[in-house]
Amino acid sequence: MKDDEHLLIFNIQKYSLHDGSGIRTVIFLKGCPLRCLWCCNPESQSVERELIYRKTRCIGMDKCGLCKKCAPLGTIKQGEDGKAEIDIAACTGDLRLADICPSRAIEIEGREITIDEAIDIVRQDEVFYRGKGGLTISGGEPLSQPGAIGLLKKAKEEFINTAVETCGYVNEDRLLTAAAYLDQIFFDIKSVDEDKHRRFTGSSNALILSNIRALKRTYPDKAIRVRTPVIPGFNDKEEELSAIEDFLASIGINEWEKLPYHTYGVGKYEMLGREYLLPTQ
Amino acid sequence: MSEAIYSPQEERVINKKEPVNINRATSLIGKVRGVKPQIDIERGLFFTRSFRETEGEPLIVRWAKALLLYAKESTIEIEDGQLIAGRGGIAGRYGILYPELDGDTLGINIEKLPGRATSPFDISEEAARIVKEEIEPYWKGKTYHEDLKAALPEDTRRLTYNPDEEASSRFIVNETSSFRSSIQWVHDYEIVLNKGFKWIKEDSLNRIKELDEDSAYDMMEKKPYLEALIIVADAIILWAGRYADEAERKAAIEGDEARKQELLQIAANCRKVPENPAETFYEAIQSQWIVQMFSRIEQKTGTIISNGRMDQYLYPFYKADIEKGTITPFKAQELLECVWVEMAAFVDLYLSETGGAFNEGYAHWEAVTVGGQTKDGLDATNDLTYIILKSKRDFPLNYPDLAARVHTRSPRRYLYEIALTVKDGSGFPKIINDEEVIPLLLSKGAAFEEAYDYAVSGCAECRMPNRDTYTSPGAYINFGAALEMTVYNGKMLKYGDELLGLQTGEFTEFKTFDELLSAYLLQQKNFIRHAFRQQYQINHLRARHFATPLGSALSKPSRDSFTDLHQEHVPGGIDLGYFEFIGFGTVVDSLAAIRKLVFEEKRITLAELKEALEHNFEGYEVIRELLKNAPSYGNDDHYADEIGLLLDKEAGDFARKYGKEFGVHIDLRYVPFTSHVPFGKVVSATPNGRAAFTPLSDGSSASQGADINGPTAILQSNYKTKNWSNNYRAARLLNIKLSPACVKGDEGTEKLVDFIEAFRDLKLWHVQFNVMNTETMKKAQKNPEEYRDLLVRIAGYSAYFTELSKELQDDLIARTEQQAI
Repeated sequence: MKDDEHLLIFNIQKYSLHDGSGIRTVIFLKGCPLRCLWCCNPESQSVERELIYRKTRCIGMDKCGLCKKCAPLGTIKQGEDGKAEIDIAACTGDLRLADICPSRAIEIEGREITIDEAIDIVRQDEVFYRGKGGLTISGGEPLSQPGAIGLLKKAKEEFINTAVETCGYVNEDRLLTAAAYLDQIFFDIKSVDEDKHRRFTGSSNALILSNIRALKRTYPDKAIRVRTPVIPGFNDKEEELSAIEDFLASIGINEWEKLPYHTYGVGKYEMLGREYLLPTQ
Repeated sequence: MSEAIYSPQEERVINKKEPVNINRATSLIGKVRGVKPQIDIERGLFFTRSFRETEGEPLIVRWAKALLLYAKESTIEIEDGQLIAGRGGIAGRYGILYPELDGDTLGINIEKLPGRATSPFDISEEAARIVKEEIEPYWKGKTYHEDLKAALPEDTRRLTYNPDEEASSRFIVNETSSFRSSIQWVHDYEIVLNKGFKWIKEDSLNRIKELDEDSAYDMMEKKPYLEALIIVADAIILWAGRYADEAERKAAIEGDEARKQELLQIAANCRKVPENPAETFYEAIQSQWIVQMFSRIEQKTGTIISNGRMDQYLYPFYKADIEKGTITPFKAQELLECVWVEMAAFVDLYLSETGGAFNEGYAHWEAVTVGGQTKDGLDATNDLTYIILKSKRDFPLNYPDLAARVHTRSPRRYLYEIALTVKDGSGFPKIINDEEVIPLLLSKGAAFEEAYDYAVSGCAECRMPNRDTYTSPGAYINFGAALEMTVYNGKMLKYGDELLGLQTGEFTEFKTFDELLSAYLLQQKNFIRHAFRQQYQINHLRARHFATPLGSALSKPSRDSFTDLHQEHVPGGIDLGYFEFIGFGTVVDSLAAIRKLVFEEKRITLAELKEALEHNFEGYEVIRELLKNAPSYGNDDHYADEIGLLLDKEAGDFARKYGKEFGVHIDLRYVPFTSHVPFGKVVSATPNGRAAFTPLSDGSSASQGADINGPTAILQSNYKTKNWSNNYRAARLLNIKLSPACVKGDEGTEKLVDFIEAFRDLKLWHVQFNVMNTETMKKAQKNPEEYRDLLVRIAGYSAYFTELSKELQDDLIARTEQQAI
């Protein structure tokens, strides 16, 4: 979203237990500047709304088949299991296909909500936060959307604990502005090797590294936890990881968490009609 | 996927890990666990013989005399290795007979019992012969069950019973008063432990002396009442004494010196209590158990008289022994667990299939309550609270049920230990909320010290010893059937052309959602109306069929007013009754789906919907998918919750308006036992996409699989569908299924505490957890032999998964498992 009154989100997850302290509500904002090959939320990357097809929910074309009547010619055929096989990427131009599907097998990823609507949803679970839990914004890169600042600000007005999960590839001013309204920052650093970073995420790491420095310098007492997804063949070697560790030590960050690689997101690539490029074994 | 995370219980069952705390009681478990129960007929037989001799005498005296005969004649047995005496039947796992309830159909039901799908029992050929030749003939024409059937108006009867010989349940407006003689309550155990039955006897003798011989009332009411109390005191003292005799006899021939000393200690205990006040923890626990057991002999209170606040009334004895150095925490836990084994040996036998279907998995709830507040309103947690919680983690047995009271000043450690116990995965404890229960009790007339001292009794009921006096079981109402009658204009597919409900109009002719909703509400009201008519008769009739001299002896309002607890009104008491709303999620989701799809989005018509329902969605799968994906209860979604709030309001308002005529608080509740399974079996397909004859939603939980917004949302939906201003409400039962990954590690424990605290602050009545992988249940269903020890949480109790019917197993599997994201 370009304006700062609205957010484009792809999910809201209540009772979230692993995205900061306490019980949290995570709002997932859509759109990310990076294209990490291992990304487990591929539906978070595009800034456009798009269709996703969850085949397991399809009840079969013999019983239903409504999608075939509406989709572009040649994009849908019946699979051996009777379910629809859909070239979903080719259908994504017309989102109305999602309204047709009675079993919500075809759904739209991405919906617009106002900041007030988002805060109302966050406040629904206030009783569970108990001063520790609260709102986490995640993505995608949540700080890509200008509305994220307004959301965090509003949350602080309601005295709700706030956290962000950021890839760090954001405008420095916006990051520093956001940080003023954040209680916890989860900051991803994937690699300090510029070349590798480009190959595996599609972008340079220069902005990310300068942002973490600026963040630490501006907010020396802020709870910042750096996270590194450990990806086989990318950064899982001892020297890669110790390079990150050395870098963090040099800027005075000692909260560092390594996240094990997983392939839970692989299925979603298929649902979006895309290809997962890393080995799955 | 990464490796599965198991709960401690799953570790024990799947990986065959031994329980951590081995003691005397652990070695006794094998005698009761996974064993098919046998019927012991002695109770039924001695009651029959005594009743034959006492016809014409006051009922409470007849009951006391029957107990006395039982105490004199019954077989006395002490299990090898047991440290506690007192059992009501043969070795192993047993059930006993209560022919005063349904003795007229005893013969038919006894034959069906061994092969019954839900909760089967075995009986010896000789015992079956005695039942048929001696017991049944006496009771034919005299049972409560027959009287009730005859006393119901024809239209009420039609909604209650099938037109067959046994009057089996229709599962529509279901009365539960004839498969049990009473609802359960909580004795005043303090008077037993601190004064003993000697005091009850002496007090009664003194009061007889003070009676006015010129007063007919004194002579005809008060005197028999007091005489019955004296007889019952004699009976229980005699019974305990016979255990002392038996223990001495066994000690005399015992070769092992250690065991000999144990038997002599049992003998000394039983000589002393419950006649006299207890002085040690061991005596106190023995005294409590003898009383507990004897009240099972006295009558079949549905789901058993509860154990009350054990951590409170036993604590002074424990504390004194600890100070004297005569007991250790380990020993105290062992003694408690010896009692748990005896509780598990006794099985609450339901002869009728309705009773069996309501209480699958041999359910009984002699709930132990821990925590909460003292009579003075201070936090009540003590060392015994923690020992009992620990026992539930250490000791893999499903009895007794454990209820943990929480309030705003519950200590941190207590909440953590509750969370740790929940994490074990066998379903304990259920959590009951002082912040909801106490204000409600106060609003219904209790004093503060009485309300603070409530104990959980049965499934989710909360009772005040010495104040609660209502004992009539209430109606369980199948509102899924009311919904169906809205679709078929007063009829149900299962019952063909028979007009059972109101003719609220042709379903396909409703022009607006409000018209349709009004039609449903009329059907709903009609059911409640018939439930109240049932209850009216039940209140009258029970007093003529049942008496409880033992229960009355242990109730102050009863003693003070010379009134048996089963009489319609006991002066000085508070009468709290109830009726159950079954199928709440099913009905709310159905109405929400109709509103959305038919009247707002106009994606389907009522005619198409009706056709799809008639065909159980076969060939109408698209419609079913649309229905299943409509807004539903349990997601903190106002669209569905506002319908729920209205249904709750209508039902509660009816209770408020007409309960007063009874002089009884007939409260609206949402506690199903396992009735949502048999109720579902009579309800065809519903507009929430539920297939015909499958279970309804349970309690105040969401429809199976409909809660997609996580466990916080189901709590919020509960909060938002309650009419807080109406105090004609009581328990709502709420099941939450969590994957063990959600509560993993210290962080998981901490977040579970947060969740429990939020539950408390939302002022919900009850919550319980199944912390288990759905996969484990599926495996247990396939290989029952391997999973005999697997406990699951059902509806206010835990039971062995493999002892449940296939339908209930499927229902448990279908409940949404909340995953950590």
